[in-house]
Amino acid sequence: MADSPSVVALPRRLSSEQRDLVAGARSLVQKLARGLSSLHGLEYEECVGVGELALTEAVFHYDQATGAPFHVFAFLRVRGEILDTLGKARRKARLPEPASKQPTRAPCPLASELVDRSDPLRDSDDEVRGKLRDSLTGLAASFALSLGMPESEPSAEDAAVETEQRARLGAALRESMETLPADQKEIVHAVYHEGLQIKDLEPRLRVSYRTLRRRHQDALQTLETALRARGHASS
Amino acid sequence: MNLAESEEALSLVTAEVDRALEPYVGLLSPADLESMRSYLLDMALLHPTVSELVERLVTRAPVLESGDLPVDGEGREPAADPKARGGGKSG
Repeated sequence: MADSPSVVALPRRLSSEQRDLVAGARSLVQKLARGLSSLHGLEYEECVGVGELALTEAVFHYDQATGAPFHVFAFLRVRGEILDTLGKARRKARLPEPASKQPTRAPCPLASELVDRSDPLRDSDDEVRGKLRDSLTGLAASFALSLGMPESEPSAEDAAVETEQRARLGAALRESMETLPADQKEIVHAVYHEGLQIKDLEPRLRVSYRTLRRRHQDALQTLETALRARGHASS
Repeated sequence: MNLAESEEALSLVTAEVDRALEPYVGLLSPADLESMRSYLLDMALLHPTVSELVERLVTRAPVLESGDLPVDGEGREPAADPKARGGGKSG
């Protein structure tokens, strides 16, 4: 092992329901460990060790009422913990870092909301590809919004290094947000500027979580289209 | 299936990720762009929902196309006895 990972302690006991959730999502850790070891040059066994603990920690933050399956909810937390912990261990051991140095800086709320609505038997390749494309463009927009509209002030280090670039991104995002209908703009502002979770907006906006989730995804697609058009216009 | 080790999946996903990154080239710093690329690659290859779509595209069985195909008996001389052809009632 490169170093002892500084993983989270587990002071709480799991209920039997939580134990079942963790057991059911264990294959997620193995899949992530295999993939991250291939993509980021990490040790498989280390990834599994850190990932198992992160999965167990994730169950304490999981709210079944959101409708997202636990393994989808836990994905970002497990990935982020593996890259963060093993990245720190590598820095201490002076080994090359994994490709993503700051994987958790952009929380990307969309990642926990993606639900598979495709039909394996009916969808053509073009339809499946279209859904993959929508997922990736939405995730990219969610990532950019998390970077460009931070809920808190950037750190001094961030500010020194990337203020100008972030300001340019923020300006482009704000300009593109003007193309959104009011209901979509409201969600984007609440999630990426105020840092609220989508499920928390149900009482405030008086619409169902399912509708909010769809509006959020529609907003990201619209933003992406506006940013793309803006890019073509300025090039 | 470990998509991260499948050349076909990596090729497909790299092209789609590059497309998704297009609007942010010039807006994001090189470091942020690299983080976004890495994030999207991980999502496409490992996220439970998104990787399912990729897996479907790279493992889908070839679709049978319509067209002329040889069938049993085709090209043979017509049978002398009509009953031997297995046809229905005539007349």
